[in-house]
Amino acid sequence: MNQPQIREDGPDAEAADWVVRLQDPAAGEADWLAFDAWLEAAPGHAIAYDRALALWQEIDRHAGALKTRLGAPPARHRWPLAAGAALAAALALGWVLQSSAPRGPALEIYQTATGERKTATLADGSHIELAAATHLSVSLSGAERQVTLDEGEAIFDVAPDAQHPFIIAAGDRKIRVVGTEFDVRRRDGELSVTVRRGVVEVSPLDPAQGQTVRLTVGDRIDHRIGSNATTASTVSADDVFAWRSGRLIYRDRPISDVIADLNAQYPHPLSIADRKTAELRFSGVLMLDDEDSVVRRLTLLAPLWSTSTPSGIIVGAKDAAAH
Amino acid sequence: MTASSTDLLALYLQKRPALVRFFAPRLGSIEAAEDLMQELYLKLASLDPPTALDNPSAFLHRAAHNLMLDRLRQEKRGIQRDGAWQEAHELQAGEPALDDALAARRRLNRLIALVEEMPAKMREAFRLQKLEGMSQAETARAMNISVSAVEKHISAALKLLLRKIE
Repeated sequence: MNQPQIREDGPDAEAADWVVRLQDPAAGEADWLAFDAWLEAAPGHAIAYDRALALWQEIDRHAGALKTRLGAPPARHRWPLAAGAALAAALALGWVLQSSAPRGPALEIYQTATGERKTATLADGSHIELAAATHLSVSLSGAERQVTLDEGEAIFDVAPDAQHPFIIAAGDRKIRVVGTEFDVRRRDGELSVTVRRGVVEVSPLDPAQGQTVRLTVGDRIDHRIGSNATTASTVSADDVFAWRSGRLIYRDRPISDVIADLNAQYPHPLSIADRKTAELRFSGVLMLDDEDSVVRRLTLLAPLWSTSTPSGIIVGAKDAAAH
Repeated sequence: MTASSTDLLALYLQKRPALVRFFAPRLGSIEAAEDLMQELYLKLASLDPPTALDNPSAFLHRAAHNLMLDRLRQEKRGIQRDGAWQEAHELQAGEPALDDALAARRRLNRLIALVEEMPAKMREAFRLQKLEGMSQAETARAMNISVSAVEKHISAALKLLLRKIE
């Protein structure tokens, strides 16, 4: 059974599949865990993979020579060019890339479960990092790149493309960008947008419902969906983006925000005892480990008590007068 | 369950070869993946011990992935994806010896013959992605087929070359 050739289903074929799969920007955590397991499943796997990878890179190194020697592709393989023959060949690639940028699958859904985080790369090169318990949809097929944030929080790093503005609809507001990085949070009817790089515009879907606000680096707006008002503030964008490294950072935020964020992380629901508690302001860093520890630290950092009930954990404000 | 930073560094050392292999196709070279791992090491060494990682291996991947995104973001401003490292690599390799040059030319001819023999769609996907430097998504749009179809063509092309190159 000593077969010199690679078998269609052997380790060499699997190795080739891995090399191709792993050059995809969408290759993520699940791929890493599967790949690592595959490498460790048999000593021959690493050898097969290294061989496939070496050939792959050899082709890259000789791309120029290969291209020249292979000559021009047959006419039927050329892309349709709208412009006349005068259009320089060098322009062809740029034209195709630009005009084809907004095309893509009609609608893609991205979602995360409680406690889960995920990174997605869109066909236009934009990246979205989804926080826990988030649901959003993406459509790149029209003149505008459109995202609808149904619930949750995400960081957007938008690939610049002035021809196709990137629009995020969240409740009664839309967020318009050309190319930037920012965080959008929509939980329990509260919407906030924080910009880390570039400029974004937030405007009501219905012009009667408020004004367009222009945000730049470090700006944040908060808005209660359904109201006409937005509150602007200046924040440390790094704080808002901290969730992607497993921490939540708050500066003078209401406890209701903290509880909504924690509920996205943990299956055991947290609830707030009363209105007074919800409005209490909180500043501090919460490491996201197990729920009981996080709640315990929260009650140490803020004047709060907590109690476990069969239906979840209740958090309330300590009564200053009782002390 | 708390993973100390020492545990994490030990795991890093154990997983480093696999991580290099994992990131090399995306970054375009083993050298770039090695650089990334060096950067990851410095990052991990300077990190406060992360509390209660339920999957330290996934954490390593995530940390490396974030570093890679930062790096790609910076590179995107300047140069085209593959050009830079390829040039560096070629310069480093220098001129091959005469025997090597003959062997290299023979191998290149063989590679070209194999690509020419490919079925039309496979060859076109291979050409756009590997030779013109298009992404999978761009290749899919240019050929008006799905991304997974492109991936299948490219995979099949690599298998064919692996099977027949020697």
